[in-house]
Amino acid sequence: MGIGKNRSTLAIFACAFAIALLGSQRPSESLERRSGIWRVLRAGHFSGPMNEGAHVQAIKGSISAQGKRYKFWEYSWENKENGHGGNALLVFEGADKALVYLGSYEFDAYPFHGRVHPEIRGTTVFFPYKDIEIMGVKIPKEISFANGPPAASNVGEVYSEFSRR
Amino acid sequence: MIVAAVKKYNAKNGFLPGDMAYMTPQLMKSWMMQESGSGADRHAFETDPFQVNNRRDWPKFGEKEKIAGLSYGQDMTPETSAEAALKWLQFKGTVHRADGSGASYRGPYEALRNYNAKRGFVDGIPKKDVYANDIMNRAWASYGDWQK
Repeated sequence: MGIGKNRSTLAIFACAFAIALLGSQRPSESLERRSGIWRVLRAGHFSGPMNEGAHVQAIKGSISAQGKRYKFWEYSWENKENGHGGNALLVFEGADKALVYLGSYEFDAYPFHGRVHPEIRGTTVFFPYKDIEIMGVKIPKEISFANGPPAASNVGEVYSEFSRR
Repeated sequence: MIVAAVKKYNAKNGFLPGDMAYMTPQLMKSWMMQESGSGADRHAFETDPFQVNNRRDWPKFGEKEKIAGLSYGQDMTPETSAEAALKWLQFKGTVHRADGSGASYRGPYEALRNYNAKRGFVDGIPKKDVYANDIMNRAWASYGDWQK
């Protein structure tokens, strides 16, 4: 009976120790993503969060322009501490097995009318926003890659410079 | 702290009551409550009450450095937080031309939506809209027409 009690006590201590060890890890370090496309992003010095609050999704197709082939992924992040978040279009060059991260543009994935996923149309990445015109100016809905990645994008409501960071 | 930051911001930009980008202490207080008003946010409230420089946010392209004068991981005080948050909010609410220059201002509601940029929906409403609604509704409930 005494031995059984000791074993129970030991088991409780072991569980408590394991929980303490797990709990001592910082959340940002506990679920850092490192494989697949995340490895490509890390190699390309991408500075956005790559933890449990970050998600990516490949965009079907590619754009070939001026002898180069571009691939695109959607990226979203959310900071669980304060609820801030955002979305970006990630731009890569090369084929599936040898992608190189070039940079990204921020965009609005949650306009009033619902979730928006960018799609490839010819040499542009198109964002299916509703047609909105403010004081005679139509809100842009696409980024052209006919001449490679432009220095900045201005789709939906978001102006964003193109940068590796 | 809020009154001083608002005064400085309005004076520096020449904003007067009725201007789209004019800020009031009432709206700013409601905004601060949204960002760090709960008891669980005490540390945030005492350091970066507007959560403008949280390490786990993404300071994309060094924009926060360029626009709001912040550096990554900088020690924050409520004063630096308020001043930087106002600059960042103004940037987020601005309609830009293709060359990046500011063309017009969308107003505080749109600016707040983009400041937060939460992803996802609550009952079919984008979370960032809920965020902006909460701030505007709280300001209205507490102060009435705060822009008067």
